[in-house]
Amino acid sequence: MRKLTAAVIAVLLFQLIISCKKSDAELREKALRADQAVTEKSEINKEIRLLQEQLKNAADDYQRSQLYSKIAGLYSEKGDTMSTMKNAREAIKYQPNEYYSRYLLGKAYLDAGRYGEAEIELLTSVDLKNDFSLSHFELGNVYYKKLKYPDAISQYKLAVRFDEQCYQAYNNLGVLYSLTGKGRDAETILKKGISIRPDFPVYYKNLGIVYDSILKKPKDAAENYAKYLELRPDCPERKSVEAWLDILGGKR
Amino acid sequence: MKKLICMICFVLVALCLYSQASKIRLAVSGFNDSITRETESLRSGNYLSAGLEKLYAAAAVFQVRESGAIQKYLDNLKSVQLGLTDDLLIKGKADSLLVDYLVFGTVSSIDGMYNVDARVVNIDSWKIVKSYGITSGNLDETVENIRFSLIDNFNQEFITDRESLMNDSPTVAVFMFKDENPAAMKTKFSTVFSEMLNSVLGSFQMINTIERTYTKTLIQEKVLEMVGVAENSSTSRRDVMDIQYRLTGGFRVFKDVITINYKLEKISTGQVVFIGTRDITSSSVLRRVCESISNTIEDVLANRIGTLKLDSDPQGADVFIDNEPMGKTPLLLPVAKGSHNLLIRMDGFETHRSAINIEPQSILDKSIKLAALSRKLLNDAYSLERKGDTEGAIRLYDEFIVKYGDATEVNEALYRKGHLLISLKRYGEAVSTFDSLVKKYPDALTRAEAYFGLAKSYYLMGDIERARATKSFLLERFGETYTAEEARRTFTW
Repeated sequence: MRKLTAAVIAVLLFQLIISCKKSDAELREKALRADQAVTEKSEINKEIRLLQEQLKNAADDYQRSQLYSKIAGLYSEKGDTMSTMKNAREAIKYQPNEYYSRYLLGKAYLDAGRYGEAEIELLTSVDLKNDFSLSHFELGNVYYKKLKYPDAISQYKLAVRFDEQCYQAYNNLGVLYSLTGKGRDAETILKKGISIRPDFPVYYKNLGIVYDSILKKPKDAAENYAKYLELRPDCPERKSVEAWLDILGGKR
Repeated sequence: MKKLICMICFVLVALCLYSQASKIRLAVSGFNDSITRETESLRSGNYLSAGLEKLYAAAAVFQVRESGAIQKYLDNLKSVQLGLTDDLLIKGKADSLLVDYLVFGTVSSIDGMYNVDARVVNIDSWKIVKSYGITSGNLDETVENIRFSLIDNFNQEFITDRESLMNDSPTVAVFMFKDENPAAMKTKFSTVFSEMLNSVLGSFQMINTIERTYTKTLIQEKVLEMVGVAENSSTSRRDVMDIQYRLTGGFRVFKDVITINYKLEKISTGQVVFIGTRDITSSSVLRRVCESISNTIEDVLANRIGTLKLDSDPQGADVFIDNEPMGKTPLLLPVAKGSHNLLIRMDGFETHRSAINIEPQSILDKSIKLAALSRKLLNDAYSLERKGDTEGAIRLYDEFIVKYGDATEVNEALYRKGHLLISLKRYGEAVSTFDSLVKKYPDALTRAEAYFGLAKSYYLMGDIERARATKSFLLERFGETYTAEEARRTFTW
């Protein structure tokens, strides 16, 4: 009898443990779902929902395409690659000659590692609007990923030609000049970038590395590392940059 | 007597050696507290690692080497990671440490809460054997929880079970998540999240997770940083571990929402096998999101996704899976396991349709030779049209439409058929024919003509309002075409 009671208690305890574990996991999932529900009310998500509602009453294909393109743009701003891809594709379906939707689709393909398709879409985008700087910039990124450095350099140059303020292109040009052994050119273009956007920290880190590792100018390297830390004191690699700076004898 | 003493001594030494051999040899590395300034200034890392070292030393199953004894080795690892020393310097040095496992950890503070993540790592494979993470307002509480998981419930039996699974499990490395917009750069979410994710993923039995500390998954060498492109995924960089998959991602912080994007990539092919995104409202749910993402990653690696490698002759054909456009051939795509409808379409060729079955964790390699489309039916229909046999021509156009389904050339048949239906005063049928043309072939050259036919059909049906709306759409969208010119000239309504 005692054995039976003990066995029943053991089974009940076991079930209790299982149910506790389950309810704990369920509670966590429930909390996550509740948090997700709140995110639906955020401005950017509300804007997306509004555009999706407008799609239902779109007067014609042109309007439909514009709405899909706007939705794709918002998803791209959020970094949601798959949703960007889906909506940009829809926009193109209704308006194949829209350079911006092609650009968004190309950028999404690039983010998804589908470089061949990214190249096709971005080339179509620049065919449709040759002076759209961002398409050239993303095309440069595609060529960089495909290790076609000269092509990437050409595209970044076009990006800054059509938009002098395309500060990211100056940085990437600087990196590519370094990778192709042109330390002086890298220095020049990164400095040009700094003159346009002096508060962009990555220039200083990269310039520091160029001085430190390629041009062997420790004093200039230290100055740039210090400036990087000044602009981005809580960067994830803070300890590393501090260590590089210490070796160069620089002041933080 | 002497013999007896010798024997007793021998047995004691043997027993002593045996007991030592059965112990788990480990050392506790200093916990990284430099992610947030608060934990760094409190020296929370030292507090935690010293506390844990004492607890390990007190437990009978462990043989603990003081962290100071292995500090030189750890310093060298750090130096390699910072790009200051070549990794040849540390090759084979781990053998002399007399340690099989290292305990690593991080401690950070966000919004008043401590995030503590601890991992026990195999020193040879650098794979996480057991891990535990907690978000709490009290550091002492975290020590108690770590003790329960990584000391009380960590023994030789667990290690044997865990390591027996390792050979057959996929190996993943969590790379540093990026701050992808200026607002994200002002937070510490990305760094804290990478550490949390590493720990949570490390607790999954069916996945091998590489410890981030002192490996190149942290990417802290002097590497130039690209912008707008995932630069920490470069395949040219030497990876020190046998990693099959890398998990990368980034944070974007908006006024009232935080978006976490992540992707799992197969290192050997560069193929992205999964892309996901999550929205959250505050840092309080970061660890829950880690658990949720880890579950997804396990699903992906264990049983959900297969790969479709697709080529066609000729290449450049449009590919649709379950009616969703996937791009042009050749393609290498992650596809959910199970049955799918494949459709391949190209101008001048018959549309290919087939069912495919995707097996998880495997590649379905398909090469499709597209059959050239015969225009004989179309040409015969044109010829009947010229001879005035309108009904006969419509019959052949219908045959062509049915036979070639989604082929691009079908738009020509629809266009001709629509106009013939108008000539037969079958306006309703003409409307549905033109309508299916504009819906099915948005890129077709005949699109403007189809709108012309639609407007004309509506007008002849007496639906003037729709006729006018269609005409204005035609003039607005295709204003520079001959068809628009024709509409301006002939549609005076």
